[in-house]
Amino acid sequence: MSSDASEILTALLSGLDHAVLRRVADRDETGSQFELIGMAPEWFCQVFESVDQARTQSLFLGDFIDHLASAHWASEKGEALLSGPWEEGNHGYFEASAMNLVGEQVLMISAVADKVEREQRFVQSNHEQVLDRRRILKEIEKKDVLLDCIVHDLSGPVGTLLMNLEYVGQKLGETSSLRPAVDRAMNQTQRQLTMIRSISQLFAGDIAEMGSDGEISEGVDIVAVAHEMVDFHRLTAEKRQVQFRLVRENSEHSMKVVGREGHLSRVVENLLLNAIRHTASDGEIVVTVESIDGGEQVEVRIEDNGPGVDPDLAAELFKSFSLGRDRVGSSGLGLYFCRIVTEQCGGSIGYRDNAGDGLGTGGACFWFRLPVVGKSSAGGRAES
Amino acid sequence: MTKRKICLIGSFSVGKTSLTRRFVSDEFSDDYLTTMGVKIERRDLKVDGVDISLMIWDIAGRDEFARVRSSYLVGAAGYLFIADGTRKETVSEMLEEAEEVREKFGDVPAIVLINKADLTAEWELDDEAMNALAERFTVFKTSALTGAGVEEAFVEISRRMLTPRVA
Repeated sequence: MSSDASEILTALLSGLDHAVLRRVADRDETGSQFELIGMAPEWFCQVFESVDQARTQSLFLGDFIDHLASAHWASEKGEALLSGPWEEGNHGYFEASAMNLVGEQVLMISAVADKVEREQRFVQSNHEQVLDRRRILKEIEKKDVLLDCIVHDLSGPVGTLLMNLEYVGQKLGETSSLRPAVDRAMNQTQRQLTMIRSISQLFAGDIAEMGSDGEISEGVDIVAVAHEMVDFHRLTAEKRQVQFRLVRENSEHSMKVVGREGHLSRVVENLLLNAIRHTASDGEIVVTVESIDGGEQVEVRIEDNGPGVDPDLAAELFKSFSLGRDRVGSSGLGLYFCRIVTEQCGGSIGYRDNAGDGLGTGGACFWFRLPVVGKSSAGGRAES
Repeated sequence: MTKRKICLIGSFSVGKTSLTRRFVSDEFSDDYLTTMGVKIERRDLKVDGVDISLMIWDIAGRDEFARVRSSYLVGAAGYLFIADGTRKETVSEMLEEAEEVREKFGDVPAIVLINKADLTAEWELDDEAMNALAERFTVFKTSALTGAGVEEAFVEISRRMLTPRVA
């Protein structure tokens, strides 16, 4: 290389915080294979005793020069060959590049601890999150298996008990003095079964399935869901001489909401059964499906003309194991399940006294709102 | 003294650094610190009467340094492919890497280490999976925590690296 080129190179590289070495084709009289261009940075002098030491002291650098850099220099390629970072004992991270520069074979060594340690914090955090998530999923899996076993062990004997009580009830006849006792036993046993089923639904498959990473399918026709549930429980209501009415309002907008059909069916079912339980004979339950917020949401209201909810209990209704008036007929998980489902879908749920809505005669009004996923041009008001 | 370069390859957190530390300095730390790039350790030992100096390349998982990673592998005389017995996905990831290495560098001596043998209660690999692996590789169950199988695995790969290969 001409002395001019060498001076330019030295000037170019001397301002950088790199150790820049020129390869001497054959070892010079001192036996050295590299010589420094310009001044060595302070860190280089702290890590390596000399230019030649760098090659022998660093297992990585020696390997890089022998296996990759030598071939790169010989190829006379213009671009730089990067070594990738390496950790040099307790001295931190370094990176080397081999390049052919103005006729010189150059090895540039850089201290990259700051950059690599920044990346390390990011990568480490990412790895820890993956491992944590994995641990949590395994815990959930174990819990599900345990819960399945518990539910199975609990529901088997209770189911048998209920079946036998029904048999005894049939044999006793309506006038037997034992009838009230058997009915009470059957009610309590049925309640126990309901409780077991609710626990199973809540804490085994459903909640895990509804986890934040689970996909919530879109486009459930909430009118159809309400219709199906009303039809399904009409007989139960009629046995208690309670009438059902299904109303659609503002149905020029789409009634397709975000959610899973199975979950939303159970939300409507839970609210309907609650209403049936608390509505006196000859009462009426109105289920209203209404498009609100200019078609952005659908509100479903289940109103009855029963005694309503004690104001002291209203605030606690949607918490787990909350039992309503007289603590009858439920596990205390039904409304909690409804809240979890609606909130997972981006909706909301609530209760208000039924002062002037569908029935306007007092009683309870449970409502939930869900976001709509599409719009339709169908219009009118329908009653069913 | 014969020098040989060994590369440790496997997904993150399978225990590559811990195995290296156990073999080189007979130490173990439970703290997990992601390896960045590569760190080289050296240990001299005698195998079947031959003095050998092992250059042990503890290489970051492939996701982090994909761009330069294969350059770390150039010149390796042997590979330790490592998976974590408590995370079955690390076995398939390891096998993918073994295949990539074989395609790039040919048949270089290699053995498989299924690490975390001290956590067998949490293992996700059954006998069938272990047997399937054993059909393709020599497999060692290792524990960097207790040291079980570690020395044996490094001695075995050293022995293979010293054995002249038939062309």
